[in-house]
Amino acid sequence: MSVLSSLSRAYERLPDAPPYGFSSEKIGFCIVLNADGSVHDVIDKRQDDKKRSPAMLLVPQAVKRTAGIAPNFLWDKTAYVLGVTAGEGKRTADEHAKFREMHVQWLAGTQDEGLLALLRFLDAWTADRFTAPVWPEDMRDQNIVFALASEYRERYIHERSGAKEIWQRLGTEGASDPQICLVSGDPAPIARLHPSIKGVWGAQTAGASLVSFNLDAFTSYGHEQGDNAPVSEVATFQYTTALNRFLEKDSGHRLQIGDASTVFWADASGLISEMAESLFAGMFDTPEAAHDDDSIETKKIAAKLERIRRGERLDEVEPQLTQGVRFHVLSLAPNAARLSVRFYWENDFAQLTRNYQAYLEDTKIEPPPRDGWPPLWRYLVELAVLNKRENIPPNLAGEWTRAILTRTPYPMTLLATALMRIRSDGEVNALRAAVLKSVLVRNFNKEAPVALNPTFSDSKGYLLGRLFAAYEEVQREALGRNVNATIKDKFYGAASASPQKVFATLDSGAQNHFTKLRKINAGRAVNLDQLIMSIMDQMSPDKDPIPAFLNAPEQGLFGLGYYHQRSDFFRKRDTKTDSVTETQPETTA
Amino acid sequence: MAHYTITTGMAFAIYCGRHHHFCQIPLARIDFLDKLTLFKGKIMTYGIRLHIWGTHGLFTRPELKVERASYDVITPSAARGILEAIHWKPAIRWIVDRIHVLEPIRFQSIRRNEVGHKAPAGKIRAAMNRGDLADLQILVDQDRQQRASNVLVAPAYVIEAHFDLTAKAGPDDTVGKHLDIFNRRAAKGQCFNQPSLGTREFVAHFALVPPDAVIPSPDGHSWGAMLHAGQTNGAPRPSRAPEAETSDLGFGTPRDLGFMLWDIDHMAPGRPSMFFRATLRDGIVEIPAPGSPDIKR
Repeated sequence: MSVLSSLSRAYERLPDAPPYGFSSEKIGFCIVLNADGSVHDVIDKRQDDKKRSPAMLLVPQAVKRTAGIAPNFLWDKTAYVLGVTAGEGKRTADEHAKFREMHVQWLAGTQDEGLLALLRFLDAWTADRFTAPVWPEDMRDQNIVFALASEYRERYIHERSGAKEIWQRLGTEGASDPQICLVSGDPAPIARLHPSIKGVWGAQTAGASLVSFNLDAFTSYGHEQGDNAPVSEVATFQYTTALNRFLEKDSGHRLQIGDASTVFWADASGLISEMAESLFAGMFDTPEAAHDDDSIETKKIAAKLERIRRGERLDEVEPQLTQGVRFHVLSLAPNAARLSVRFYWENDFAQLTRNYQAYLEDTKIEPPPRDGWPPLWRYLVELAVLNKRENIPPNLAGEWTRAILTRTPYPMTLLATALMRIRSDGEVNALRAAVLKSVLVRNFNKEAPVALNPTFSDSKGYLLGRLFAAYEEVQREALGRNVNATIKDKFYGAASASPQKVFATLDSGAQNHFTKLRKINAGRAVNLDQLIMSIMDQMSPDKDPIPAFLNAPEQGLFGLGYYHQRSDFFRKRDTKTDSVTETQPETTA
Repeated sequence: MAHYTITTGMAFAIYCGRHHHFCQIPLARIDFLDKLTLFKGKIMTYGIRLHIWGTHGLFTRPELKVERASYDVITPSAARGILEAIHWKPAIRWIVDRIHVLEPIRFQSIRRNEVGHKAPAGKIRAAMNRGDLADLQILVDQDRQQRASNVLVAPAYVIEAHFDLTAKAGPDDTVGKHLDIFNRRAAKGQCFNQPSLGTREFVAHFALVPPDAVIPSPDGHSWGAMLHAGQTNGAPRPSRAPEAETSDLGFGTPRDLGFMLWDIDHMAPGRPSMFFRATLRDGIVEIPAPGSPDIKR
C-alpha cells in the first residue's frame, strides 16, 4: 500500500476525526457579535498555561495560501479579519479588503441571523477601532472566530446550519470533472492543491507540502498542479488530516530521529493499536512523560518492553499483537517548502519486534553504556559534531532506522562517521563501540566479540586496539592521570589507520614508561608487561602483524579492541585487586 | 488439439482466413478452440520472457514525484519501455502480462542534484523558426536543486509479455517475423536505446530467458547475492533469492501494493493516467490485459 492510501485508512480510525471539509486549527480569540453586527464582547480562548497556547477548534478547512491573498471561510488571522497585525503589514489592508469582499460574495442572499450579523460587522468595521481595552494587544496575529451573543455557549457562527450549507455548496462549486483517484481507484473530483503538513521539524512553520508540483520540472504531459497525480479531494483531506494529527506534539505517534520527523501507526482496533504504538515509541525513545508518569499503564508497557529487550518472543509478551497487526512507519524530512519521504516501512508488528531484537543483539556490548539502556537518539548524538542533536548527519539517521526496521545492512556512512568522530575527539565509549560492533556484525559478517575476548586473534585490528590500550595504561600508571596529552590524544587516529607508522614509536615510548613504573609499582609493571606479551604472542610475525594500513572494518575492530581492553583496566581498578595473580590476563579462558 | 498443453496466461495466435493475418484468441474463449481447425504451424505462442536487473531502480510514484519515491515493483509501462528499447515498430504493441519479482524489495534514500526546469517547447519552436539558439539553454549550475529520492536497491525481475499487431501492420508484418527479430536482438543484447529501470540514471541489464527455462530457476545465484559478492559482471540466471520468499513478496498471503500506474492513455484528450490494483502473489504481479475492467481510467 502506498503512503497516501494507508494514511487515508488511518484517518477512518482517528477517534475524533474532523468531518470532511473541516480542520482543527489554533484559535486564539472569539468575537461575540450582537444581531445588529455590533461587538458584544471579545473572548480569550487561549489556555492558562505559561505559553498561553491557543485552543484547537474545528473550523472550515483552511485554504492553501502561497503567495496570493486568500481568506478562510468565517475565520482567519487578525490581518484578514480586522486588518490589524503586530508586525509591519504591507498588504494588511488588501487582505482585510479581500476578506470582506469574499464574505460579501459567499454570504450573498443569506437569511441566517449569524451570517447577517457578521456581514453587518464587516460593513461597519475599520481598523482604527482596534483599541484597548475591548481589543487586547495580545489579539494581534491570532486566529479569530465569531459567535452570536445569544448563543455563544452553544455554537460559533461557522457551526450554524446556514454556514455549513454554504460551506458545502462552496466545496462542490470548485470541483473539477471526476477522474480516477490513485488512492481509492474511484472517479471523484481531483484536488488541485494539497493542504499543508504541519509539525515537521525544520520545515517552514506555515507547513510544507508532501504532494506538490511547484515547478514546471515536476509536471508531465501538460497537466497542471494536482492533475499530475490525481488524488481525490476526499482522499487528500483524509491523508492530510491523519498525517497532521500524527505529527502534533504528544500525539503518541511521533518520534524525532535525527532531522527526520517520524510518525507511526498501527492498522488495528483501538486498544491493540495503542499497545503497539506505545511499545514502538518505547523501543526507539524514552519519552519524557514516562519518567514522571507512574500510572499502572506506563509501568505495564515498561515491563513489556523490558521483556522484549531481553529477547523474549512477542507471542509470549503480548500475543494479541501477533495476530497480523500491520504497522506503518513514515519518516519525513524537510526540503524548504516541500517534504520528502525519508522512508516508509510497513509490515507485521511481530516482524518489527524480531527486527528490533536483532538490532539489540548487534549493538550488545560489554561493559554496557553507563546510563542504562540507550534509545536510538543517544547513539545518533554520538555521531554528531559536539554531540549536538542538530549536527546529526542528515540522511544517516533515517537510513539507519530503516535498516533497523527492515533488518538489512546498515548504511556504510555509519561506520565511516563513527570512525571519523572517534578520530576527531579520541573518545571511544560504549555507545560508539556498540555502533562499530553492530556494523561489523551486520555488514561485514565479521565475528566481533561482545565483551573482552583475550583469545580473539582473528583480527589484527582488534589485537592492535588492545595493545594500544595497554600502552596507554602503562603511560597512565607511570605518569599519573594528569598528563596534558596522552598517547591516545596524540596517536589514536594514526594508530588505528596506519599502525606501522606509530607502533614502533609507541613501543619505545612504553619502555621509558616501564622504567619509571618499575620504581613506583613493580607488581603493576610486571602485570602490564605480561599483558602486552600475551597480546603480542597472538600476532604471528609471518603474517604482517602491524600492517601499513587498516581498512575501515579493521579500524572498527581496533576501536572495539581498544574499548574492551581499556574498560577492563577500569573494571579491575574498581574491584581493587593489586595482587599479581589476579590482574594476569586470562589467556586460557 | 491433444498435442498442445495449454496453460492459463499463454497467448495464442492462429491464422485466420477471413482477415488474412494472425488473430489473437482471447483466453476466455479457449473452449472454442476445439471447434476450430488447428494444425501444427498455424498455432504458436508468442510470449517472451526477459530477465532484467540493475543496481538501482526508480519507478516514480506520480504523487511523490517531486521528492521522488519509487513504487515497490516495476510498473507495466516501465517494463514496456524496456521491451520497446530492444525492438519496437508501429506495427506492434507490447503488452506486459506478468512480472516476477526476484529480489527482496529494498529501498535507499539518496540526494541528488537535479535541474529545476524543463526546456520550454514554445521557446524551442520559436528558436527553430528564428534560426537562432540564443537564450535557449538551461544552465545546470545556475538552475540546480537538491532533491531526495527513495530508490529501489538491486531490483531484478522477469517480465512476461507478448505483443499484438496494430492497425498499422502491413502485409509483411507477421507475428513470427517480429518475434524472431525481438528474440534475436534480445539474445545478442542489442537495443536501440539503453533501457533503464525507471529513470535514465539506472541502467537496466537484460537477458532473454530461454523458452524452456523455469522461472524462477531453483539453481544459480541470484543477482543480489552476486552483487554482494562483488560479481556484477555477466548475466545471472533468473533465480529468486531464497531470502526473498517472504510475506513481503506475497508468499503465504498476497500483498496489496495499492493502486499502481498501468500506463498513460496517450490517445485520449488530456492524456489521463490509468491505474490498476497491484497485488504481489508468490512473487508475481499479474498485469491486467488492455481493456480489462481492472484498469481504472
